[in-house]
Amino acid sequence: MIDCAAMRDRMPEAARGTVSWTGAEVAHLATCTDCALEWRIVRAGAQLHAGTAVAADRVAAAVMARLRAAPPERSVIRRLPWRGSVIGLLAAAASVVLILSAPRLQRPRAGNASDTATALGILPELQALDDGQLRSVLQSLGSTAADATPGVVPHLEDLTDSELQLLLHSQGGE
Amino acid sequence: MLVGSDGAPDPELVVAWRGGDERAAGQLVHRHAAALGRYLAASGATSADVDDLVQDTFFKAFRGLDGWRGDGSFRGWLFRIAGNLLKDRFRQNKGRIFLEIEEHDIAGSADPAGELAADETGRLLQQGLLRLPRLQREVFLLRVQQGLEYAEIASALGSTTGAARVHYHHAVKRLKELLA
Ligand SMILES: [Zn+2]
Repeated sequence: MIDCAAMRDRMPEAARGTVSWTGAEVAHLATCTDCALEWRIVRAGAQLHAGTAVAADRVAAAVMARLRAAPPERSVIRRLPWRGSVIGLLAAAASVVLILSAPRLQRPRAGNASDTATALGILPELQALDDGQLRSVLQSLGSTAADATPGVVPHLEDLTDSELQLLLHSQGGE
Repeated sequence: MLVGSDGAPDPELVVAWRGGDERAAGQLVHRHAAALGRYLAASGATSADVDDLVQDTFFKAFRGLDGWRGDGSFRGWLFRIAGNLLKDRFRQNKGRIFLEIEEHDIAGSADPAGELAADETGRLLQQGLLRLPRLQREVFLLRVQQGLEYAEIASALGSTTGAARVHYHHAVKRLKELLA
């Protein structure tokens, strides 16, 4: 008796040739419609864009040239003492927006102890927001972070550096 | 830990690059550029954008090595950066899907008899992938196209193994509906 779920778990490896099907499993693929469909999808997925060519020499040369022109330097976000605290401050700012239902809020001041305390205090409330509420908050902050790819839900901790920078700029930060 | 046929494992090359060894950085580019290109292409980047995005990924990675904690694979971290860059590019394009489906480029079948069917499945799969939520698409591609284990995917996406499994399950379910 073939366990469909166990077999499907191994499909990516089978499609890449790192494991092989037994005779019984091959026979199963000929009779189990659902496994056969998944196998077709996984095999096609393993081959997807297999012909994509990247000019690695050119890419390496270009990357090195850019790095020489711009020596390693911490990004705006990473220059900040702790990325997490930035997220915390943004979370606090967002929470204030929610609480006051105001389109704009006062700028959080770096190094202001009371703001930081507020951030730490309010952060759990923001973490409790559902995705729709969080999207509203981000929109109210004027960020494009909420203009996500269809189906992509923004999470503060999942924002890219550029998104965080946009949020900082929208709040008058660096 | 990925070791190329031509040399040291990734973490050693990363250490060497941090010490100023450009050859080590070049080896990392050669080792991972093709996989990144395939991943970006399947994620919706046009062929014209792929090289630029791969370049940007490495530039950002090498400049920001402080962001790689070393507890996940370097390769996984590259995929994470590439995914974020693509997301930013997508947003700059004001939400337009910017994949031009280049059918000859989707499947790399070496089997002439099955090529037609494989091309058709590849084309439908590519269309289906672009309709998936981003996380589902990324997990599917990292698991199936790139052969990453769930733990490595979780580390790359800053998620958990269980969540990665769930995203994969939902992705496959949806793709089955689209391709049935
Ligand atoms: Zn089955």
